[in-house]
Amino acid sequence: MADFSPHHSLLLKATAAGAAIATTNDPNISSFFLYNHSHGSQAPQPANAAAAAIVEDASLESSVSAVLDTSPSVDRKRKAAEDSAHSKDSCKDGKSRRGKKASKEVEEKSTTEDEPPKGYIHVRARRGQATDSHSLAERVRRERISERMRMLQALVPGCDKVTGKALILDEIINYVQSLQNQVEFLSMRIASMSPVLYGFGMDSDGLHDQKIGGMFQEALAMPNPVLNQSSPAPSQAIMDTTSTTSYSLQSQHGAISFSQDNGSYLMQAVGEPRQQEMLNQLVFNNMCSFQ
Amino acid sequence: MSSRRSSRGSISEEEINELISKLQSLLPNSRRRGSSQASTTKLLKETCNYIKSLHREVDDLSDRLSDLMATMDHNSPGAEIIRSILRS
Repeated sequence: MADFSPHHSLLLKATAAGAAIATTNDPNISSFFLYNHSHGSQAPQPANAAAAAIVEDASLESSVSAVLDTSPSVDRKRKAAEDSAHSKDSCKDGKSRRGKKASKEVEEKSTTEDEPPKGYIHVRARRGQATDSHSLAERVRRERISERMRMLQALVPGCDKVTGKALILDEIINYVQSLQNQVEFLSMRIASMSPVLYGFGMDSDGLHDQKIGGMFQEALAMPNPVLNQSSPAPSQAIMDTTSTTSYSLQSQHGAISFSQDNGSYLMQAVGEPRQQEMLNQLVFNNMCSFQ
Repeated sequence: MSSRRSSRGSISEEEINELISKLQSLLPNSRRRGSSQASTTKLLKETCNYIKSLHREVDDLSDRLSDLMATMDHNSPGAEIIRSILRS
């Protein structure tokens, strides 16, 4: 008899829960009740335990009434808890609303400060982010930098696979260097090719390195008319590449080296006999390295 | 946490500054402008443009090289040598 009473109380609680579901309009609260009752059946609350204690002494009806008495009290407790939780939620809502308001304010601020002159740059201040004008300006700057970095990543092959600003910059530097090398190499080949052609046309046994060197210097001495004939590319870069040719010849066998000198070095180099010999030697090495 | 982040950030910031100045030294404009510290944004933009111009240049030069090779006198012994050199 006493063994059945918990079962009955559970049943009654279940019906009470049903009533609660029927009466409450809030779906959250009803589900909350269901959850609590199932919980109660698994692990009886102190109130339920007290009811069970009463049941053991009294008849089924009294136990039922006791359960009926206790379950509303439990429900009331739950309701109170629910209410407090709700109030907490509302507190949170208020906070987040306030946070949203703050970010909105920041956005408005940024629109008034930055956007009219410079076009649309979206600046968002999350909760806890500084909103003074310096921080905003810094944020705009960082946005721009990362945008440029993305553009560069799109330009540089294989750069989208690496992560981290430093690695990306490294990759960009390497790529720029390799492109400079390539331009240098190509323009040097062209420069060495056209005069050598004429030279071979005039003199069939002109393989003498002195001869080639002399012609090479000719090509170097007039870089602009020769190289700019059909080149829409900036002449500045071509000047640079031709001026660094003597360096690139030295690094023909793999090492990448770059000269930051401008074109005046070339004229000096051509003017000095010692440098001339060096150039000849280098040209010869270069021709050998092609093979 | 913020102090740790800032210390780690400063190290990578140093590295990045180094890389930025290296990149700046590669650009042709940096020589003209001298040692003035340009903004990173400007520098990155210039790098973009420079890479594009280098691309154009490489395309142009290879076009010209192939043109030169096409217009080469086939009977000239020198041309033969140069062709074999360039092909290798």
